Amino acid sequence: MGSGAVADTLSIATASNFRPVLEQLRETFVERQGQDPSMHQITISSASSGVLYAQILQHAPFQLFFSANESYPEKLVASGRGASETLATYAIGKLVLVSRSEGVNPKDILSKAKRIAIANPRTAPYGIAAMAAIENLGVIEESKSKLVIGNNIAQAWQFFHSGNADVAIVADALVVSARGLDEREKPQRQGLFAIDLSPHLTHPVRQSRVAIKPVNSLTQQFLDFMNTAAAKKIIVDGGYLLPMTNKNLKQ
Amino acid sequence: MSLLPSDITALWLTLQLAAVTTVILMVVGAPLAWWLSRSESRFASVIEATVALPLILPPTVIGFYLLMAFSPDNFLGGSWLALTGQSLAFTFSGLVVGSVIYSLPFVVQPLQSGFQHFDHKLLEAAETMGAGTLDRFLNLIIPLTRRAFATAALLGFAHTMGEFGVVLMIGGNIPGETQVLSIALYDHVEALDYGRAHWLAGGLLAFSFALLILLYGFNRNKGLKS
Amino acid sequence: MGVENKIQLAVEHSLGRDAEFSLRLNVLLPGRGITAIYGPSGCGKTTLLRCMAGLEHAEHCRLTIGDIEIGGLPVTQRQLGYVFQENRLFPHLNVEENLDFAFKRRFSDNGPSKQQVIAWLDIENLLARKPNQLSGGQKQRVAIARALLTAPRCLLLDEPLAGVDSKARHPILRHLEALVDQLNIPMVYVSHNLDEISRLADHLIVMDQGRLIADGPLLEMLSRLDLDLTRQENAAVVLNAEVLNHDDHYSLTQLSLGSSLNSDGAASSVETQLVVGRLAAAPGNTVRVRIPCRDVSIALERPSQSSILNILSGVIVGIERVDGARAIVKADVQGQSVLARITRKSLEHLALETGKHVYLQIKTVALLSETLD
Repeated sequence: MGSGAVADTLSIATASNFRPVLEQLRETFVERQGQDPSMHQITISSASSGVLYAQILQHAPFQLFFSANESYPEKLVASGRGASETLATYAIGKLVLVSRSEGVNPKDILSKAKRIAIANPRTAPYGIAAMAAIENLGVIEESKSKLVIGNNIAQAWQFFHSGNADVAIVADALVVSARGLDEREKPQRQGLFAIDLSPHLTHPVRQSRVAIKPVNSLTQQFLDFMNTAAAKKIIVDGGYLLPMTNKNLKQ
Repeated sequence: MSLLPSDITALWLTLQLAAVTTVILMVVGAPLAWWLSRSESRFASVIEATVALPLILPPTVIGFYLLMAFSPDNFLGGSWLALTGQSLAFTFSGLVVGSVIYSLPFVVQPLQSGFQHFDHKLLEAAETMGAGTLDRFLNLIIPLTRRAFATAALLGFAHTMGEFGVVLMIGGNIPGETQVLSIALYDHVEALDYGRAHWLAGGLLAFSFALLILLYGFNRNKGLKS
Repeated sequence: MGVENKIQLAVEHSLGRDAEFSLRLNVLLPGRGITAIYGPSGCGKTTLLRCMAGLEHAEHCRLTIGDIEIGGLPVTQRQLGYVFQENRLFPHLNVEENLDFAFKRRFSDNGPSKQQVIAWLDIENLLARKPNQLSGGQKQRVAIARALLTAPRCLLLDEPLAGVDSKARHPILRHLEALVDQLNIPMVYVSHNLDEISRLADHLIVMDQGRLIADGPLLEMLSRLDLDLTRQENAAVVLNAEVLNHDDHYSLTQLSLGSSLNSDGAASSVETQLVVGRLAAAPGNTVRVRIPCRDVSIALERPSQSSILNILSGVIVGIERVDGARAIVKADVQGQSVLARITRKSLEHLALETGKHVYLQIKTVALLSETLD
């Protein structure tokens, strides 16, 4: 593809939960390039992974796709639209149980809950993980009637945040960014308790990415940037774990 | 490929929601439309604008504010909880409240225009014959504005059938309680289950079209007769 | 009927933002027969009727019928029949259903039956029709029937003939005249048409600019020189006359203006008699005749050679100059008044003055329902 001197455009499609982190990544990336920021046009579109996957299949003009699961990027590679060499897990989501009452035992909290907000387990990776965690905690039967299903993780958070659900199982990243917003707006807001559910998950939420063919140089530069320590710090600070692969450990 | 039990549940729920909403809208909308058609106060135009808001507001705006209002921390949600022991969000009752607001202009506007064309002098005549308010409403206003009532009921019903944004925001996608047809359809699309999505989308399209043909056919016939 | 059945009406009402128009009126109406409310358009007569019915919310309204005060009641409880100028039949109901609407809600069981009312107004063959299949006159007959079926305490009629073409008025007037005999409830009839009023009314209320100008028995009122009534182009007096006998040869009927009590003396004189076309009424019956002022001329001596049959003898009791050219002369004939509109020139030429004996030549005498030349 074109040489680095020519301005490229990069349109990124991302699962909603990763958007706040990706925006910080973009900011740092542009600074690092040390060039005139107007040289690069990097736009970010967010939606649920399934919607974005369907849009890419319909030839939506995205160059990079950050999914909330592994399967959509893999399917894109299999269908020939994704560039196989760019397929990688970029973050592992931390699943947390949030509630307004202090407690350490997630099982108790779920048993006492009136409404449990989760993302749609049919379409959202965090919804699948939430269902798995509830099942592993052994409270699936009593919880079924309490479940309210958000279209995605953000909506599940909204159900909780608005006070309509007393408990939600969401990505830690969301809690981190929401907390950040809340602290900016209402510093003394209290009474939010988050418990990490990772110990109760057999399969962690592995979030994968893939570039869409053809891969331009700006896309490649951004992918390279993702492997830097600075980028990794941003991801970890955003509430994610890093995948423990050799490739990652190298740096 | 055919309808799954969950889709049939959604269809049945949607019909129930549309029916209940329409009944409430007729009961609430008729006096409101009557007042709007008669009032000359400046306040009436404020109410008129409020009623018309759902026509231009994105349903998500209504849904967002309803979700806030439904919260037990807030007045509406709190009083409802105290009154019924149930929360409004994620329940059928909550959907009814949302649908009533969302479809209100579709019921009030045809009624209002029907009432505006109604000859109010007839009411005076009935009054001198001893007919009270309800008597006049049932025996004069309803029969003489039945076209407006039919239009209002059909539009209210059809519009509630097609409701999506509000339900998405306040429903919680619970099968048999809040998972209406449009949500089930959206679920299928999100899950890339296009086959089932086609069934529901096509069905909804055909149903809405049939309802509108019924409505316009009815109005045309009546229009030619009178 | 006694005084206790009279209708007492006192209304105060303002219309318009700055009370541009105000209605202020206190009057006693007879408890039977037809009382007409007359006045120029805009004088408030319809508003007065609406205040009586409660359709207009008067600031103050006292309305006592018999000894029942209904001025403070809502429309639905006043139990008054109301016939509107524009019939206001219910368009979705046919004639019979319109009648049933009223009959089902009737105020008492003492009112007329459906069959009676249908017969009185001759609407039997209209029962199955919808209002839009009726002529203006038919609609108004149905509207009157509908108002009667509620068994009202009093029937209010607001210019019921205003929207009816002149041909159809005649039968409605006949029905209304007949109704007075059938019903024992009073009627209040608003009109600006003197002909209608002369035919129907027993009592007359004259209004202008929301105020009562005069009220009294119709015959008296129509000959009052101080009222604007007698200045109208179609001003006329109404007289009561007794049928004396029929002349079958010429197909005429002779009427006497004198009361039957003094028929032994001067009353039978030809100078107090009127001749009209053959009537059906038997001798001894009283009929009403109407004599337009413009059709009466005055002579000082009895003309001997004239085609005019009706020449009455009377004494001038009043003279009113109308404008530069004309004057109205009021003459007393056997206690009843006849008005003659003549030129001022004739007035001075004949040196007419109160107390003078004159002969009144009457060109036309209109009977209640037929006109003769």
